[in-house]
Amino acid sequence: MNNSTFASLARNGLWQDNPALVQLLGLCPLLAVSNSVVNAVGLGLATLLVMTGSSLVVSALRPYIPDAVRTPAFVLIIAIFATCADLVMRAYTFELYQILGIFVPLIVANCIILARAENFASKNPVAASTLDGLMMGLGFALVLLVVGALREAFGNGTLFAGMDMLLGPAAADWEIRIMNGGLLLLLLPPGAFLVVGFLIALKNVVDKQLAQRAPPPASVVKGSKRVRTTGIID
Amino acid sequence: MAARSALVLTLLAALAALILSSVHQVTRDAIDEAERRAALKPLEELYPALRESDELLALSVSSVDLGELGAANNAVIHAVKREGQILAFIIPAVAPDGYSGAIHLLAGVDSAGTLTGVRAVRHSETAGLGDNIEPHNSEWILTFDGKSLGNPVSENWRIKKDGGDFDQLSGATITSRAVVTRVHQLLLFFVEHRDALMQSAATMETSAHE
Repeated sequence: MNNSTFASLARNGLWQDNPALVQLLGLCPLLAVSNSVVNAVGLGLATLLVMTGSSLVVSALRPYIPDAVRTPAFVLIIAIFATCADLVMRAYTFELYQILGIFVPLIVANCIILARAENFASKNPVAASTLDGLMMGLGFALVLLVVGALREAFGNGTLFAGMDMLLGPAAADWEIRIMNGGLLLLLLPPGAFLVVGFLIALKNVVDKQLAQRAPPPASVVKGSKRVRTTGIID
Repeated sequence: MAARSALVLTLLAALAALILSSVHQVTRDAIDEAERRAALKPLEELYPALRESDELLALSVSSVDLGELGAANNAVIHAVKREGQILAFIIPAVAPDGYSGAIHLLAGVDSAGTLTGVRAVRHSETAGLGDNIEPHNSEWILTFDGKSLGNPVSENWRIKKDGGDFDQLSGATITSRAVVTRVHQLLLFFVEHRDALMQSAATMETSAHE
């Protein structure tokens, strides 16, 4: 893998084809658990690990898996990783696990992961696929983190509250109080839609600015295809 | 082709079973421990002096009818026992007259009849007003800690609006009144049945530490 593939994979996952802001995949966990930083980081990390691991295994096993049973085989592989994440979180971050609830086992049904397995990992070599999984997962986790931080800061008036649930007692006093109380709306489901909507709009504004400044378009990585999109397709 | 598909899927499933059972083996003890601690945590709020080694006994005394406190048929009183001593009781009650229906309460009462903690475990009071009975929203529910039948005297076991000693939550007078009234009745109930409960807990041998 040369440097330009690396750069374009990273660019695709983190920005160009960001799973949450452009492909709009995995919206359900994104909207549901992004009401605080700790929830967002917890689920973001779990999704990231499952995605990287399943992309690696899917691309490594792809020569042996007949096309007819491709989808069930991929789902099974993803389910192995998701269940491991579920067990590990239940064992070591039990309180957080209880708050995230059904969304931890539901990682297996997160469409980004299957979409990357189908569209990328099943057609590309191991190193590129693993990196793609990592970058897509990172792109998703970062958006989750930004939405979580914005909703916690303006909805609840705090940042990093309850981080000890994820990182142990050392993080118990990380909580920063920004203001007293906040806009309840942001903590409720409509707040999640509003914040994500603003982020998508912001990304499009930035993209437009960038397009005006630098005309040469980036090459598209083989097999990376957008399913739904909020950006402008060239 | 079909045979190969079946073989691949079978192998994958076997691999999945192998991986998951080993991860399960590794995490099982930690999960059990985490679940046990999570189950004890609400009890610690009701009785802060609780130790991990304490026994928790589920009492069933025929003469004690929790229906008087509005609790469901299958509700039970738990006793906290340490080295043969009965230290406290965890008593369920339901305040039927909250602003939005019933408020399910649990109260910790030590053997002398002093409240060690009260929590609303289930309710549907208004968000932002009535749900201030929850300790992470407001410290109001903590005002019951250390109160007993003589402290304050019976006629002052009311909210201030009704001439008693207890602050009402602003905007949630009905909620506060319902909780204060029920907690008062719970203490009266405890005094009435204290001897029967103590006796039952003292004779009970089986440990039900869950």
